[in-house]
Amino acid sequence: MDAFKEMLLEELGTPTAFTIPLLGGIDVSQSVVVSWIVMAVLIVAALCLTRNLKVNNPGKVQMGLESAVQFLNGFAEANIGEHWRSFAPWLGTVALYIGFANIIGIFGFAPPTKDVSITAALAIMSMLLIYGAQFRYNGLLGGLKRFAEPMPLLVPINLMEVAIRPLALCMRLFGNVLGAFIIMEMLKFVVPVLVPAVFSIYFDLFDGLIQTVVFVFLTTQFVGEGIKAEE
Amino acid sequence: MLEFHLSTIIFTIINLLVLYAVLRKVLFGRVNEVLKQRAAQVQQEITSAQDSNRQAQELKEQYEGKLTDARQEAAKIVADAQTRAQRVYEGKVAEAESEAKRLRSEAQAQIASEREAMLQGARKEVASLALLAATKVAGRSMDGADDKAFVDEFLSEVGERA
Repeated sequence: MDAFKEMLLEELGTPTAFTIPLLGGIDVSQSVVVSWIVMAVLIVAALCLTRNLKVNNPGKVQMGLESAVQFLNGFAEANIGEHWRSFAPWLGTVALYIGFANIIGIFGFAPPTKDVSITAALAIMSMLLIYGAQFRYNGLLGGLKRFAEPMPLLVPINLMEVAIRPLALCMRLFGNVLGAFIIMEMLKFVVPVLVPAVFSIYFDLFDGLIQTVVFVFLTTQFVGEGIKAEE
Repeated sequence: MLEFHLSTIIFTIINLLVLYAVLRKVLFGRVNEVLKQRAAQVQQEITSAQDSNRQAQELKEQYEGKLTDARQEAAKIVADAQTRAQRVYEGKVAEAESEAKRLRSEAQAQIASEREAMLQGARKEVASLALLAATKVAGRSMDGADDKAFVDEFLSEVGERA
């Protein structure tokens, strides 16, 4: 039992993969290395899949790709409104990154999103996107006025949300992935064969994708709230 | 477990920005470009289809107009021919009728003159016979002018009664 506890604690930590001997040593954690793997896979896949795109007679792969991008575009347009065009690629990138990071546990890597620093970085970027867009498209005064909507009484709550929204995004993703990871580790410890595979479908695949959707959907929703014109 | 590493956060932000830059160019840029081109192409095809449709409509109207003209022309020609034929026919009929009338009147005239001549001849014959008979009766010749006049008067009285 002690051995299991030790192993679990070790798994839960964020081990440093290597240290760059610059500026007194920059730690590169394992999750960053796995992130690089995810990025490499995504970039190579994107390069391969988008080679040779045709306007006429698209192949099956291209049709799938197109409908995915169209779905993303439609989703961004529905939630953000007229300025959706500049946001869709970022949202798609984040979705692909989180999605692959979440389900990479299937391939035996520790998902990078179980590292709270990674989800914190994602949440910071979302926050910058949300409030950056709010000021970018409403101007300084208009952006400030947005904090007084839908009524001035809510100004304190809206200001608190600046910190609460990224915190919630960060912790939700982190907690879900970490929880799934712990359960999977325990299952693997107790029943090493077959059972983990079945549960992996739920905890790695389903939960991972759900959390991706939740993260991206909430970010889009908040961006839309910040810049959508009042009807 | 809940430790924030600044280096990891910064690395992740850089990672995300790099991934965003690459995917925006390679994945979303290319696919959106294709989608845009396809939309433009569809739009263009719709426009050209509408154009050719309109042209076809115009041509159809033209042809229909021409066809109507031609039909009217044909009807006019046929009507012309019919009236001309009618006129010719009537002329011929009239000609034939007049010809027939002429022939008949000629024949009638001939018959009448022949009858007249015959009557004349018969009358002369009768007159001379009557004269002969009267000569025999009178026992003398009756060839004086008076006698002749007398016989003629008698004969015409008889002829009127006959």
